Amino acid sequence: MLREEDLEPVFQAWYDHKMDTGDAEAFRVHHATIDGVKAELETLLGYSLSRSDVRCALRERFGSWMRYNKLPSPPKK
Amino acid sequence: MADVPSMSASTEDLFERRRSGGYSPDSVQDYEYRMWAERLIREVSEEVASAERKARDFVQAWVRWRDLSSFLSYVELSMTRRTNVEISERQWHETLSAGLLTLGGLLRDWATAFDANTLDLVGYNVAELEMKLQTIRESLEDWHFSPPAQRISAIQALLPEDA
Repeated sequence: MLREEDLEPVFQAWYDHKMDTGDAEAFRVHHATIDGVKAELETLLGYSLSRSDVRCALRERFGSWMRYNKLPSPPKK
Repeated sequence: MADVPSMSASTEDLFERRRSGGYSPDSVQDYEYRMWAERLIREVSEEVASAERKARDFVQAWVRWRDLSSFLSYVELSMTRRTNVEISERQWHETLSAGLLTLGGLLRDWATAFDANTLDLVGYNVAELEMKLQTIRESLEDWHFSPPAQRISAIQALLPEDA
Protein backbone atom coordinates (compact mmCIF):
# COMPACT_ATOMS: atom_id res chain seq x y z
CA MET A 1 0.00 0.00 0.00
CA LEU A 2 1.09 3.52 -0.76
CA ARG A 3 0.85 6.16 1.95
CA GLU A 4 -0.71 9.61 1.77
CA GLU A 5 2.73 11.20 2.21
CA ASP A 6 3.98 9.29 -0.84
CA LEU A 7 1.35 10.99 -2.97
CA GLU A 8 1.66 14.56 -1.68
CA PRO A 9 4.95 15.37 -3.53
CA VAL A 10 3.62 13.65 -6.67
CA PHE A 11 0.52 15.85 -6.74
CA GLN A 12 2.44 19.01 -5.90
CA ALA A 13 4.97 18.41 -8.71
CA TRP A 14 2.20 17.46 -11.15
CA TYR A 15 0.34 20.65 -10.34
CA ASP A 16 3.49 22.82 -10.59
CA HIS A 17 4.30 21.32 -13.97
CA LYS A 18 0.79 21.88 -15.34
CA MET A 19 0.80 25.47 -14.11
CA ASP A 20 4.03 26.18 -16.01
CA THR A 21 4.74 23.72 -18.79
CA GLY A 22 7.73 25.81 -19.89
CA ASP A 23 9.56 25.28 -16.60
CA ALA A 24 12.23 22.64 -17.20
CA GLU A 25 12.77 21.96 -13.50
CA ALA A 26 9.05 21.46 -12.84
CA PHE A 27 8.94 19.10 -15.84
CA ARG A 28 11.88 17.09 -14.48
CA VAL A 29 10.48 16.88 -10.95
CA HIS A 30 7.06 15.84 -12.25
CA HIS A 31 8.59 12.94 -14.17
CA ALA A 32 10.87 12.01 -11.27
CA THR A 33 8.01 11.83 -8.76
CA ILE A 34 5.78 9.87 -11.15
CA ASP A 35 8.70 7.48 -11.81
CA GLY A 36 9.21 7.07 -8.06
CA VAL A 37 5.63 6.04 -7.38
CA LYS A 38 5.59 3.96 -10.59
CA ALA A 39 8.60 1.93 -9.35
CA GLU A 40 6.88 1.36 -6.01
CA LEU A 41 3.66 0.23 -7.69
CA GLU A 42 5.56 -2.06 -10.07
CA THR A 43 7.18 -3.78 -7.09
CA LEU A 44 3.82 -4.21 -5.39
CA LEU A 45 2.02 -5.43 -8.53
CA GLY A 46 4.84 -7.48 -10.00
CA TYR A 47 4.56 -6.07 -13.52
CA SER A 48 5.67 -2.97 -15.36
CA LEU A 49 3.58 0.16 -15.78
CA SER A 50 3.81 3.30 -17.89
CA ARG A 51 3.74 6.85 -16.58
CA SER A 52 0.40 7.19 -18.27
CA ASP A 53 -0.98 4.17 -16.34
CA VAL A 54 0.05 5.85 -13.10
CA ARG A 55 -1.34 9.28 -14.01
CA CYS A 56 -4.64 7.81 -15.19
CA ALA A 57 -5.04 5.83 -11.96
CA LEU A 58 -4.11 8.84 -9.81
CA ARG A 59 -6.11 11.44 -11.72
CA GLU A 60 -9.21 11.26 -9.57
CA ARG A 61 -7.12 11.57 -6.41
CA PHE A 62 -5.23 14.44 -7.96
CA GLY A 63 -8.58 16.17 -8.52
CA SER A 64 -9.55 15.62 -4.86
CA TRP A 65 -6.16 16.95 -3.77
CA MET A 66 -6.71 20.12 -5.82
CA ARG A 67 -10.19 20.64 -4.40
CA TYR A 68 -8.94 20.04 -0.85
CA ASN A 69 -6.12 22.56 -1.34
CA LYS A 70 -8.45 24.99 -3.13
CA LEU A 71 -6.35 24.94 -6.30
CA PRO A 72 -5.93 26.51 -8.72
CA SER A 73 -5.78 29.58 -6.52
CA PRO A 74 -5.86 33.08 -7.96
CA PRO A 75 -2.40 34.57 -8.57
CA LYS A 76 -0.89 36.49 -5.67
CA LYS A 77 -0.89 40.26 -6.13
CA MET B 1 32.02 57.76 -70.51
CA ALA B 2 33.53 54.71 -72.20
CA ASP B 3 33.63 52.78 -68.94
CA VAL B 4 30.09 53.52 -67.77
CA PRO B 5 27.81 50.47 -67.95
CA SER B 6 24.79 50.56 -70.19
CA MET B 7 21.33 51.19 -68.68
CA SER B 8 20.39 47.56 -69.28
CA ALA B 9 23.30 46.14 -67.28
CA SER B 10 22.15 43.90 -64.46
CA THR B 11 23.24 44.34 -60.87
CA GLU B 12 25.42 41.24 -61.24
CA ASP B 13 27.22 42.73 -64.26
CA LEU B 14 27.91 45.89 -62.34
CA PHE B 15 29.24 43.90 -59.41
CA GLU B 16 31.58 42.03 -61.73
CA ARG B 17 32.77 45.23 -63.34
CA ARG B 18 33.30 46.81 -59.92
CA ARG B 19 35.28 43.78 -58.72
CA SER B 20 37.51 43.74 -61.75
CA GLY B 21 38.20 47.47 -61.41
CA GLY B 22 36.31 48.22 -64.61
CA TYR B 23 35.41 51.74 -63.62
CA SER B 24 37.46 54.82 -62.89
CA PRO B 25 37.15 57.01 -59.76
CA ASP B 26 35.58 59.70 -61.93
CA SER B 27 32.92 57.44 -63.39
CA VAL B 28 31.30 56.69 -59.98
CA GLN B 29 29.81 60.17 -60.11
CA ASP B 30 27.96 59.29 -63.29
CA TYR B 31 24.20 58.95 -63.32
CA GLU B 32 24.13 55.26 -64.10
CA TYR B 33 26.38 54.31 -61.21
CA ARG B 34 24.22 56.33 -58.87
CA MET B 35 21.13 54.60 -60.21
CA TRP B 36 22.84 51.25 -59.74
CA ALA B 37 23.75 52.10 -56.14
CA GLU B 38 20.24 53.31 -55.38
CA ARG B 39 18.70 50.21 -56.92
CA LEU B 40 21.02 48.05 -54.86
CA ILE B 41 20.05 49.91 -51.69
CA ARG B 42 16.38 49.41 -52.53
CA GLU B 43 16.89 45.69 -53.16
CA VAL B 44 18.81 45.16 -49.92
CA SER B 45 16.28 47.22 -48.02
CA GLU B 46 13.42 45.08 -49.40
CA GLU B 47 15.28 41.91 -48.48
CA VAL B 48 15.86 43.16 -44.94
CA ALA B 49 12.21 44.21 -44.61
CA SER B 50 11.05 40.84 -45.88
CA ALA B 51 13.35 39.01 -43.44
CA GLU B 52 12.10 41.22 -40.60
CA ARG B 53 8.51 40.49 -41.60
CA LYS B 54 9.19 36.75 -41.56
CA ALA B 55 10.89 37.01 -38.17
CA ARG B 56 7.93 39.02 -36.83
CA ASP B 57 5.44 36.43 -38.12
CA PHE B 58 7.48 33.68 -36.51
CA VAL B 59 7.57 35.46 -33.14
CA GLN B 60 3.82 35.97 -33.26
CA ALA B 61 3.21 32.30 -34.08
CA TRP B 62 5.61 31.12 -31.36
CA VAL B 63 4.08 33.37 -28.67
CA ARG B 64 0.54 32.29 -29.62
CA TRP B 65 1.47 28.62 -29.68
CA ARG B 66 3.12 28.94 -26.27
CA ASP B 67 0.01 30.66 -24.86
CA LEU B 68 -2.25 27.98 -26.31
CA SER B 69 -0.17 25.15 -24.87
CA SER B 70 -0.41 26.80 -21.42
CA PHE B 71 -4.14 27.20 -21.95
CA LEU B 72 -4.39 23.46 -22.70
CA SER B 73 -2.79 22.70 -19.32
CA TYR B 74 -5.27 24.95 -17.51
CA VAL B 75 -8.12 23.18 -19.32
CA GLU B 76 -6.74 19.87 -18.09
CA LEU B 77 -6.42 21.08 -14.52
CA SER B 78 -10.01 22.25 -14.70
CA MET B 79 -11.14 18.87 -16.10
CA THR B 80 -9.16 17.02 -13.42
CA ARG B 81 -10.64 19.11 -10.63
CA ARG B 82 -14.21 18.30 -11.63
CA THR B 83 -15.78 14.92 -10.98
CA ASN B 84 -17.51 14.62 -14.33
CA VAL B 85 -16.31 15.94 -17.67
CA GLU B 86 -18.63 16.10 -20.64
CA ILE B 87 -17.77 14.09 -23.73
CA SER B 88 -17.79 17.22 -25.89
CA GLU B 89 -15.19 18.80 -23.62
CA ARG B 90 -12.96 15.73 -23.89
CA GLN B 91 -13.35 15.79 -27.67
CA TRP B 92 -12.45 19.46 -27.76
CA HIS B 93 -9.39 18.75 -25.62
CA GLU B 94 -8.31 16.06 -28.07
CA THR B 95 -8.76 18.38 -31.06
CA LEU B 96 -6.80 21.15 -29.37
CA SER B 97 -3.98 18.79 -28.33
CA ALA B 98 -3.67 17.26 -31.80
CA GLY B 99 -3.71 20.71 -33.43
CA LEU B 100 -1.00 22.00 -31.09
CA LEU B 101 1.18 18.99 -31.83
CA THR B 102 0.95 19.63 -35.58
CA LEU B 103 1.58 23.35 -35.24
CA GLY B 104 4.47 22.73 -32.85
CA GLY B 105 6.12 20.50 -35.46
CA LEU B 106 5.66 23.20 -38.10
CA LEU B 107 7.17 25.82 -35.79
CA ARG B 108 10.19 23.59 -35.19
CA ASP B 109 10.75 23.36 -38.98
CA TRP B 110 10.14 27.08 -39.50
CA ALA B 111 12.69 27.95 -36.80
CA THR B 112 15.46 26.41 -38.92
CA ALA B 113 15.09 29.37 -41.33
CA PHE B 114 16.51 31.75 -38.68
CA ASP B 115 19.98 31.98 -37.21
CA ALA B 116 20.67 31.29 -33.54
CA ASN B 117 21.02 34.99 -32.66
CA THR B 118 17.63 35.89 -34.13
CA LEU B 119 15.95 32.97 -32.34
CA ASP B 120 17.61 34.00 -29.10
CA LEU B 121 16.44 37.59 -29.54
CA VAL B 122 12.82 36.58 -30.13
CA GLY B 123 12.82 34.26 -27.09
CA TYR B 124 12.52 31.01 -29.01
CA ASN B 125 13.98 27.99 -27.34
CA VAL B 126 13.91 24.60 -29.05
CA ALA B 127 14.31 22.79 -25.71
CA GLU B 128 11.16 24.53 -24.44
CA LEU B 129 9.29 23.61 -27.60
CA GLU B 130 10.31 19.94 -27.30
CA MET B 131 9.36 19.88 -23.62
CA LYS B 132 5.93 21.32 -24.35
CA LEU B 133 5.44 18.91 -27.24
CA GLN B 134 6.22 15.99 -24.94
CA THR B 135 3.78 17.33 -22.35
CA ILE B 136 1.05 17.55 -25.00
CA ARG B 137 1.80 14.02 -26.26
CA GLU B 138 1.54 12.74 -22.69
CA SER B 139 -1.76 14.60 -22.24
CA LEU B 140 -3.18 12.98 -25.35
CA GLU B 141 -2.15 9.55 -24.10
CA ASP B 142 -3.46 10.17 -20.57
CA TRP B 143 -6.83 11.52 -21.60
CA HIS B 144 -7.61 9.72 -24.83
CA PHE B 145 -5.73 6.41 -24.82
CA SER B 146 -6.46 5.31 -21.28
CA PRO B 147 -5.10 1.96 -20.05
CA PRO B 148 -7.56 -0.91 -19.46
CA ALA B 149 -9.92 -0.36 -16.50
CA GLN B 150 -8.55 -3.48 -14.82
CA ARG B 151 -5.05 -2.03 -14.73
CA ILE B 152 -6.33 1.24 -13.25
CA SER B 153 -8.33 -0.63 -10.59
CA ALA B 154 -5.25 -2.68 -9.62
CA ILE B 155 -3.27 0.52 -9.02
CA GLN B 156 -6.13 2.27 -7.23
CA ALA B 157 -6.47 -0.69 -4.83
CA LEU B 158 -2.97 0.14 -3.59
CA LEU B 159 -3.73 3.78 -2.82
CA PRO B 160 -4.45 4.97 0.72
CA GLU B 161 -8.07 5.84 1.49
CA ASP B 162 -9.10 9.27 0.28
CA ALA B 163 -9.19 11.57 3.32
